[in-house]
Amino acid sequence: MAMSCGQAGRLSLASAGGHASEAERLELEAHLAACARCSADHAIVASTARTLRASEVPTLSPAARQRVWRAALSRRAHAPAAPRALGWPLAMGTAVAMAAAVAIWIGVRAPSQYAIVAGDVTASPQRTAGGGTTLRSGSAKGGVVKLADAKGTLSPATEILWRHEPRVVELRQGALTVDLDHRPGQHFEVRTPRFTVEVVGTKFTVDMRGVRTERGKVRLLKPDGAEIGFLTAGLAWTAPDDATGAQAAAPPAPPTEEPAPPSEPPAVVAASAAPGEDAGVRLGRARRALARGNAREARHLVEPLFPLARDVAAEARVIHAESYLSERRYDDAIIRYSVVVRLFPGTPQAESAMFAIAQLESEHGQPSVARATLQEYLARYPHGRFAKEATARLAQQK
Amino acid sequence: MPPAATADDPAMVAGCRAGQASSLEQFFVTHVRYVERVIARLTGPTPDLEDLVQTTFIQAFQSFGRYRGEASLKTWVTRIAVHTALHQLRSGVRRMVPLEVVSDGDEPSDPVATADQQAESRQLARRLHALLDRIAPKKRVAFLLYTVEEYSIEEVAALTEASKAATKSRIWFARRELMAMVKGQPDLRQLIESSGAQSWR
Repeated sequence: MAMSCGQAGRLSLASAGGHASEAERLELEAHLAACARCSADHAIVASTARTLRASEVPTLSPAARQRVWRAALSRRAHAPAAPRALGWPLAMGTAVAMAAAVAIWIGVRAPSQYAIVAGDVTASPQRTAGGGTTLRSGSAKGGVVKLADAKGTLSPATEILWRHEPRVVELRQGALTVDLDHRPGQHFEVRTPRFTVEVVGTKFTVDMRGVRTERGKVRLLKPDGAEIGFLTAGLAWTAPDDATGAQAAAPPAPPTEEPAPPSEPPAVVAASAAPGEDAGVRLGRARRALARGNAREARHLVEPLFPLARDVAAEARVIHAESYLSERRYDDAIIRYSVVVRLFPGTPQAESAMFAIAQLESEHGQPSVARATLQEYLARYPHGRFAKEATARLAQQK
Repeated sequence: MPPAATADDPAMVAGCRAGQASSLEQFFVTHVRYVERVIARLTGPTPDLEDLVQTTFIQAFQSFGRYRGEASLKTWVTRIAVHTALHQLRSGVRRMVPLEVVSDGDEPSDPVATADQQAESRQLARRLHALLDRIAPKKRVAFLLYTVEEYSIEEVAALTEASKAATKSRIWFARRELMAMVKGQPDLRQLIESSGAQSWR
């Protein structure tokens, strides 16, 4: 009985997939010899199957496989324990607003004098109650100052008020990076009217919108002293949206003799700002959504930015990872940080992301995995921002 | 034909169920390359391959408690990989530039083919993948599993958790849509013909 074109089509598929018997193939061949249309159709199917089968199959590099293995193992071991670290952006919600001034208290006995170490920094005495010294960096160039035992790096157009008793720094505008080596009993507190950041031997950057920890760990407290959470090295927090307008709620700035220079964009954001305003605005909205605890909105905002320019995409991916972090979905956060590491090698975001992965692995019961990540970090960034911390952590694990 | 499933080591299976790292590692090392291959076949070139493989193994590691041993571990993890690929295709997020991938050392390119032939083959593959992107994920996956990965109708049905009838239907309609698209592109059709498509398997 002659084969219909429909039957030939089905047999063509079976043949292309290697499922036809010899007898079926002969039967099909006979039909195709007499039917030009089916013959042409079969050529397409057979060629498609053959071409795709013969095409090169991309596979993962050994390093990528190692990352997959670590992430999967980490997930396996994940216990839904109460998060100790970084669940706090969610808890913060709108309760925390950024103040116009950030107070940094150095709670140890240390030299009271300040010193201008480098850069374009001017000093003028503060003659209002409380005293202190106002330090300003130029609008084009920042500077480095010594504040007791701490080294402070002022971004351009930054103004701080330094009081040696009780060793408080108020950040009035711009951005300040504080670097303080760990010493027993020594700690910092970063205070605002709405929250306090407590530090033990660390390096971190504070600007008018948030904090990024580069080394060590800071503890975030509510004004009443209740613990909000920890911000470990490589991670950042940005204040909620309403914080921008919270200047009125901040302590009144001491009078100055001249108008303050324009506020410097937050260093953390500026470091990775999108060249296009729209992308930059969107990143900012995402950050603010994240600070409000709305992780899904943050993800929604940044996902369209993934295909954009490298610096925009890298920051968008970081926010994406942090959104999972804020939801306490640590394994998902690790996966997304891994994406940053993989897609944006050589960027500050990738370096921070790799260290963040190690932090999360370490804090969620994967010390051996974290160790491998730290070793990989040091191999990639022997002089990186977290190299000192990574080396110390590895030494602790020995 | 898809690689035959070998008998799984009972001790490894028990260890995986218990969440033992050594057993999980053995499972991972045994199956990771195959999982990569299946996902890459189904999704086409994608820089998200690592994420998709990772998702597959995370789901596997979390699901061992529900693994009853009715299918081999290879079949079981392939099913997860198929679902992961399907989910990715359904999401509509397609990025075509492969990043940090290396060619599979197990599949050397045809040493007989000339550079021109290889380039032509790659071009054809790229265009076919572009056409496949326009076919609904379920149909695309069923078609590829059946014709490229050479799974039987029953196996495709099991991997995609569909009935045999639905699977046949999906493969058939994928074929039909592919035909229509190729016929609408004379240059592609010519490329297919020049690639020696008339040869029998």
